[in-house]
Amino acid sequence: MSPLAALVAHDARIEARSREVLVATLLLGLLIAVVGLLALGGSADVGAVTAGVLWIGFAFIGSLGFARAFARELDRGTLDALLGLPIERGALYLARTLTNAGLVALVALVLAPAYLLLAGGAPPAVALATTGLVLALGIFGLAAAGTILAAIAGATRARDTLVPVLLFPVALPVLIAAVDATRAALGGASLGALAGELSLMLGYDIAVPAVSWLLFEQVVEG
Amino acid sequence: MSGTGERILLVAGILSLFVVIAASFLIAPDAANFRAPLTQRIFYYHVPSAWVSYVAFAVTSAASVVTLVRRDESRRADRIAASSAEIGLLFSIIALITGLLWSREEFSNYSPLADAKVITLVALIAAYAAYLVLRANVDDPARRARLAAVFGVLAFIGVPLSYLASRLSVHPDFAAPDESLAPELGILLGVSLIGFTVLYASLLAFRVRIARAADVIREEMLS
Repeated sequence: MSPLAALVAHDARIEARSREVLVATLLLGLLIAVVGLLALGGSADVGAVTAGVLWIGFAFIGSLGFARAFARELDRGTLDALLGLPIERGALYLARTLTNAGLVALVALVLAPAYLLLAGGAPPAVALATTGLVLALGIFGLAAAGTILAAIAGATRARDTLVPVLLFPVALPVLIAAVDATRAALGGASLGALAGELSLMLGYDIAVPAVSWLLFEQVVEG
Repeated sequence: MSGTGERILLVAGILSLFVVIAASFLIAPDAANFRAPLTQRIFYYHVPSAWVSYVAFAVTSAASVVTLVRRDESRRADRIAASSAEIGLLFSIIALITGLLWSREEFSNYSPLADAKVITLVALIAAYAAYLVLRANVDDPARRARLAAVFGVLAFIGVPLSYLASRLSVHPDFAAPDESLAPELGILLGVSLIGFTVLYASLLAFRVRIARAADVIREEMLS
């Protein structure tokens, strides 16, 4: 088993046992969806409202969940033990990014269908497939930025409270592109019509993890 | 840089500001192709402020890269990054306020959130604010330099891409103005740009000196 796969399996196993972050984020997501439905349910444009509610949810879940997952490793001394292993620091970052993205994706899998059903009427299968691709690219970008920023916040006095502050300016491009593309995709836009947004998110999904892979060592040392 | 150099920069910056203020109100003719020719005069302050806020951001990011690459023990690059961020925050707020004031007069149905430049300035202000809040929350100077530098590099991905993303997704429902200036007004804008840049350079030089003095004092007290 490669170190990366072992680390992902380790993170996933801890989460599967405690369900500490998953349950909290899922309930938070449902709360946001229900309040969104109550406030905006009568609105004509289901796609626009759904895109807004989903991404408000993911941004909140990201800020809370990424911080929590990292704080757990700090508090239990897991991080110190992991740093003692003869593996690339970047691999630690990438493993944590993948589990963080998986966590948000899991919430998305529950939240998006639930919200679409509650809001009335599922869009056609093609629109759902396009939306799924948009959500996947956006969620990975959010997790890539959120994971290293949670590590930075964890090394400060303010700890978790700093995550949303740091996340906003860094994750803004992926949020702008994802909200816009989700709305368009739910409205039935083709992949070609979303080429701009998709390539921007793809670029972000490559650039941020690449830079973070290089810099993660400087965040966790000392 | 010696103290004399900083003073010359500061005097040059202030003098050019006086020239800009006098010229923009007393000499410059109305910009004919604008709906609100009087309010257009805010250009001579708005455009250079936005320019300085971008330059300061580039300086902070570049100094962050230097801090990370050199693992700078003297923390010289870190002082430049932090000082430039403080000045950049000030000028980006000025740029946002002056821009919103102007656009209210110039456009009939303006919506700020449909303007990619507004979103970019908001992202820039958020990045500066987050950078400074992050610094304030770390006590150890070496660790503060490292963490702030990593954030500075990440913000340098976030802010320019915010501009691209909002260019893709916002669809302005206000008529794009003819922002071309007559040549003599362009010259005045050029003078203002140079003046603001010199002012930024002098403020940066002074702020870095203060930061260096603070570092020296802290080390003296510790030893």
